[in-house]
Amino acid sequence: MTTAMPAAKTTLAISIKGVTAGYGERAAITEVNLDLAAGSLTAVFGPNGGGKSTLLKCIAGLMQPWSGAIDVLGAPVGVHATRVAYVPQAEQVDWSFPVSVDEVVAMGRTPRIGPLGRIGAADRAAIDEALERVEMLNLASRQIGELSGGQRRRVFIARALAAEPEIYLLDEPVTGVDPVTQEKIMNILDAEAARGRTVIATTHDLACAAQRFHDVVALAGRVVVHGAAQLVLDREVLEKTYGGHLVPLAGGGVVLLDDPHHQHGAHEGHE
Amino acid sequence: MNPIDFLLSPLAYDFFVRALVASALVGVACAVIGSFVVLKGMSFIGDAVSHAAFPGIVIAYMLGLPIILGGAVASIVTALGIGALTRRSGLRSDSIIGVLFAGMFALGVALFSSIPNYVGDLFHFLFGDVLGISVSDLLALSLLVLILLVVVRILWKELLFATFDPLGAGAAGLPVRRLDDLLLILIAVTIVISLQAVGIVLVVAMITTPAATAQMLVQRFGKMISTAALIGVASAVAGLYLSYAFDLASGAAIVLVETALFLLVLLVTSLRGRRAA
Amino acid sequence: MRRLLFVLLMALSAGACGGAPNASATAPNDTYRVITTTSVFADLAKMALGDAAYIESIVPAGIDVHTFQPSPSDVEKIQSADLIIANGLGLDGWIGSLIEASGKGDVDTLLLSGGLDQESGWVYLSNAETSGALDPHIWLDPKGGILYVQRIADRVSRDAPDLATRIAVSSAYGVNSIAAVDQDLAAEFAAIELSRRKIVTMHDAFGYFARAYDIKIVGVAVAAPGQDPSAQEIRALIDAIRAAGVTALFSEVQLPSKVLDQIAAETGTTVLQDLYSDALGAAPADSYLGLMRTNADAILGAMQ
Repeated sequence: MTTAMPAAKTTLAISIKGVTAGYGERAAITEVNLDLAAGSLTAVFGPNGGGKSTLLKCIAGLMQPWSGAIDVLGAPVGVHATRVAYVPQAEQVDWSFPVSVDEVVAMGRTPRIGPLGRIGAADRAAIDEALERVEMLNLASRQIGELSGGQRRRVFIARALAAEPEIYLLDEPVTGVDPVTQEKIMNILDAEAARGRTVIATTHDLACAAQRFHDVVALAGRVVVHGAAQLVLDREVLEKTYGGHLVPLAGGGVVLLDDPHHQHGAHEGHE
Repeated sequence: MNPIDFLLSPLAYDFFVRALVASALVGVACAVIGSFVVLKGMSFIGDAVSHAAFPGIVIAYMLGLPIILGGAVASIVTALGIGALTRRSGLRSDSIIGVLFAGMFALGVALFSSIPNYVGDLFHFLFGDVLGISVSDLLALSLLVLILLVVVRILWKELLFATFDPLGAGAAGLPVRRLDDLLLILIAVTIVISLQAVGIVLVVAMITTPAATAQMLVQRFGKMISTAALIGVASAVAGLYLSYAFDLASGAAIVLVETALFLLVLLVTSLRGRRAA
Repeated sequence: MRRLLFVLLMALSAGACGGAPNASATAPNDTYRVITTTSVFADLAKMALGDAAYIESIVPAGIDVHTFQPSPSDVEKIQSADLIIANGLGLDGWIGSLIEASGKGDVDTLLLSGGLDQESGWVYLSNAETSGALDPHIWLDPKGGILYVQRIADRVSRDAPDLATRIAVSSAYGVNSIAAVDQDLAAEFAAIELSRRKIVTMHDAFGYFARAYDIKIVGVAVAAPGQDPSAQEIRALIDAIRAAGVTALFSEVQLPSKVLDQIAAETGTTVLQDLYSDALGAAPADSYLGLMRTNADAILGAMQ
């Protein structure tokens, strides 16, 4: 199936060529080629074990690909790491850690400030603005363990915002949060993309992908397709991506059974 | 003897004042580093590194080198070794730590047993010798504690971020692996400078207990560190006075005070928690 | 605990070697073999026996007796000995397990310090750190040294009557040498006025010595080797030193101590590491007489 490329924009934010990566003996992604333009708002979807988190971690520099190359903002991964913000999956954070909401958000400024610096006026402004955009300003001194799931997610979004990055990498940002929070988060991501930032998020929520994102990447170990968001609802795409998880319905159409916690193949790699 | 006299009279003696200052400094340093250790679950590593100092001390003694140098080299090498091995090998990290812990200490015991003479100084490194601390020892200790606190202060944000969310920090461009190694070095140095006050066997308590107590009391990391430091100092002073009053080993007295405080706070917070539930 | 394991191991291996102790292959002929615990007693035995017997000590010179750790080769030495000489009174208690492990018994052992009060009218002093126990450092009073020499001479003469004459000659000479030193020291210490005849020592070894020459021991830094003084003990010692106006603290060659250094710094006294108590050292303290002389010189020097 040919890829339907979105209208070409001038700059390539992320360029992935021939990347294969995995854990131990098993490759999670194989021969991935992907170009993401600046200002794009892309959802990566696919079955568990399909390599979504792996792909994100490779772009973030948290994993070394076995082969291939990734360029971020025109240079190899790591060179511009301070201009990339990574929002981890919820389970990977220690919620009992004694930090408050605004301390977590302030961490987003750390790479910018550097070792000998202190939080300055500009930093303070960025932190406050981030907190306001996620509507958490009034909860700034709350310890993160005392927050609800949706609030916790928003704190990490705020941390990413405070870093004022050019690229947002979000691992399952809207999974497991209430619809109101989902809406708020998507509005923010939308706004960032509109400003020319590049947003990539992994997700299981196909409806959200179809409705709120501009582009999608179907990933099942390999890139099935990379194109406009409506492709999520394309039956052929779904069949090729999810394979046996599709159940045809009697009156036509299919239903997708994709339990987010079911492991398809080997681990997605929650380190 | 009234309480004021009891508190003031030992202060007329230089050795006691020095012991007090040294114990307090060690209390602060251990509490600060201990806050990171407790949150990262590295107490076992702390114990391993302190016991690993022993062979370094013995070898330094045998070669006629300054004992603290040998201890520092052995501790730092072991700490970094633990870091590298747990990152690299497939074994669970506590197995690796356990192996190094016991092996290094056994090496120290074996070497020590080969020395024919009674060596008072070595014995003191197991259990502390704070009453024998000299002016130059105290100056060196103060300097090292100061350096330690300055390093933590400078890299505060980076250490916090890397401790709390290593993935996020790495993705943001922080050198997480180097920060981990730095923390291991700081742990090793803290342990070595604390050896004269409390000795190899008890230093892990000074690192772990005040921080663990503080964690139950406060919600912000900065407050946790300062609370832990306060507990460390208070316990050191109280412990030293207790050891003076009852002829107890000073290191053990300090650790007993810290442990009692921990249990007290645990009791109070769990009672409060149950009432609120 | 360690010694218990060691004894078990030794007993097992001694048993495995065929039980009854017999003359060791290294015994050069029929020479009477004497094994002593420390180098001091070895020298006293030499003064008593001359070259009538082969004498060896288990603890080498310069090593602290109280914390000495015996090794398997020491068991062999005892197995081939005709007489084992120890002090007793807690100084060298570790010899007991060695003797057991070697298959020897009380009959092969001479405890120098036992029963001196009944035999010779000796007055024991009590042990400072262990209440109810006696101070074992009898030989540091030359009169005690004389008693030891006589005891060793008597015992070996009884065991090996053919050596008795040679022993009588050696021991007489030995006793006289010690008596001469005793007279000299008595005179030298008497020349120091009583108010200056005070010392502070590292551990409680010099009770008999002090009694012999009317020296006042102001305080003892460490009640027992291997143990640290508590804060209150340090304070008491500092007070006592200041009150007595002592100028020197005596440590011993094999017992380094940071605590003593700090006490000295705080009281403005000096630490001298020149005393020998349980073991011989380098020349001139490489013999009993040399040891007594060296100690006396150091102490006299500090008192001037």
